[in-house]
Amino acid sequence: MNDFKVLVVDDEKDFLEMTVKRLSKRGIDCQGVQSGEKAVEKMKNYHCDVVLLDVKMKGMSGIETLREIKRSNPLVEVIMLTGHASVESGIEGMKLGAFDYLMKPMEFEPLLEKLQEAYEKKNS
Amino acid sequence: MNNKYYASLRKRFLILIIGVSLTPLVGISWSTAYYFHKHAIKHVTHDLERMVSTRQEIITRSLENQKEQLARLLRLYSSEDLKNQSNLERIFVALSSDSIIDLSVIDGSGNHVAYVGPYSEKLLSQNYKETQWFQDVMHKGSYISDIFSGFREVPHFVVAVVNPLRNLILRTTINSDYYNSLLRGAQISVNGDAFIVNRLGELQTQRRFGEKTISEEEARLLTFHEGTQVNSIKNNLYVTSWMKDGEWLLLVKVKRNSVLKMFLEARNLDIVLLIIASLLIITVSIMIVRQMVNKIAKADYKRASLDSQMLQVEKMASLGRLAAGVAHEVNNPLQLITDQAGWINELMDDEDPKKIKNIVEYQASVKKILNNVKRASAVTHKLLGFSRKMETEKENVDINILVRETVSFVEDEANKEEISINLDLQDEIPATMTDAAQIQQVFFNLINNGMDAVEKGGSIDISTTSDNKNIIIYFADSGPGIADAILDKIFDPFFTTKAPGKGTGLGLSICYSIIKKLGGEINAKNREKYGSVFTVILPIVNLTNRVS
Repeated sequence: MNDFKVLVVDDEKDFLEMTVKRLSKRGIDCQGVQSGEKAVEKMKNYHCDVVLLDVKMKGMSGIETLREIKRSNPLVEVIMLTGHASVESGIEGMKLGAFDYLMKPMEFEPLLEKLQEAYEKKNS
Repeated sequence: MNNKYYASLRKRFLILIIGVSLTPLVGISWSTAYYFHKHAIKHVTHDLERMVSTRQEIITRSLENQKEQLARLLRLYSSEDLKNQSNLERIFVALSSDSIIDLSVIDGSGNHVAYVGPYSEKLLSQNYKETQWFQDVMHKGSYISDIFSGFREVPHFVVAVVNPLRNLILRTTINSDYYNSLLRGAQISVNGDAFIVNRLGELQTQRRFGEKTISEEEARLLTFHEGTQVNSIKNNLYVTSWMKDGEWLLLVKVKRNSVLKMFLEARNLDIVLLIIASLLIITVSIMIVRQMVNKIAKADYKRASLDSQMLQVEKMASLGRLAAGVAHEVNNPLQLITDQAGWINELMDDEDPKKIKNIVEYQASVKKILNNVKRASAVTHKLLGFSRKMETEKENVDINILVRETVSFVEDEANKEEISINLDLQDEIPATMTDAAQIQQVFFNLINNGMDAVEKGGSIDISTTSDNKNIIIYFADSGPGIADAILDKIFDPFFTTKAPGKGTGLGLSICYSIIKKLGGEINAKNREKYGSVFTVILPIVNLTNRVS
């Protein structure tokens, strides 16, 4: 699984650290950043396969970040994750090329499965 | 509805409309009557003045003629000729007038020297030197007396003229009947009268109805004036004209109502027409105002209902936004709890179970934490679903899902009240493009009403069916049903049978508005045995239909 690289983007520090920790424990190369701006910057050097992206963040929003990521790295798969069930942002995210749209709270195993699906799609 | 407000509005409109309509009508009628009356009076007055003037002229000329005739005799005949009885008799015959009773010749000493007439025996011995008339005729040259009966006991008056030498007077007696007949023609109208009085108010001619004196009001007219004058006293019109150098007053009296008969008839007709027109205006005004105010009341009622609905929609939208915010804020910590609990599980997997004394308890606790997060998550997802449904856009809706979801909201409460909610939903019911949030609100209201209606242990049966055009949803309850008298009022805004403070009376009204707005129908009736059933009919609209 060391080839599988995931970038987690969320302004909730506790969630970010825990998710990175748990993914890393499963042998996934995982990095975490707390804002959209940092994610865009990070991806210049860190070539990940899947981005787990929070929709509602301070500063650059999830949708804006998604747009930027897809512009610079069109092959990267993005899974949107949010605590807010906004249908519009979900639809917009899917239109911009997001792999899927998940609702918090999400258990770890289904999340892992979704990341795996995205990784497989990227490499297919 | 504020009945006092509409009663006051009705009153104000009525006053305004009736005032505006009747004022010109009354004004026109009054002015017409006024000017017509004025014209009638003028016309009558003119006729009366002319008539009186003519009569006065005739009488005056007649008296002047008598005087002139005597003066002419004095000029034509010598004193000796006139003093001769046989000559005088011939002259009397030549005069041959019905009005002349006799002819006398009196010398300058007042002695009666010749006489032709019926009273020769009585008169020939008379000396008039000390009488007033003799002195007057000697002084003025001529004299016309007032009418008197004297010893003849017949109303008459005398005309006397003296010759220039003041030594011979010719005197004649005139029968006043002649003047009575002259005035009779002036006694117009049923109660009219025409007569002559002297300055003292003594009658010089007979009155029409035999009165011997004049009344007090007639006596007030004995004030000299030039020409002809018209006076209105009580219900009478008096036309007066002084004659005989202001010694006699010709007085014509007419009943005002008699001479103004045509005017009074026209005025009465005018009043009747005015009353009829006024009654018509008032009746029509009352009807129009009643209809107008009822329409205003209905419009106000409708607007109040719409305002209430808007308020309700606003409240629901705010509630939706609040629900979305709450869900978001709760979901993030729930995610953390899930992660932390999962992390504990993962770490415990790395440990030697034998070295952890209470490992089973830890694992059970973590499992319970995860289960309760799931429960909490289900709640927040429902909240988010509710929030999403507050959006008013139409979407493809499966009515069965919507029914199940709505029932899930009230399930706990129904269980608590021991009310069973039974679903009989048709399989594969077609989806329809409609407003899920609004439809759910209707379902929610109908189920809630049903729960209020049934007692503990009651039931609510919800069933769905469809035909080619519509989806039909029935909400039947086992309550007491709806009284027939109020069955057609239950969808009216603010109509409620619930206890004060328990119902706004808007629930069913909102349901009705929503379903109507979405092109459907809603009705209520009583079931055959017990309870009521509400039927919602929604048109099946799909995208193809919508585009076409």
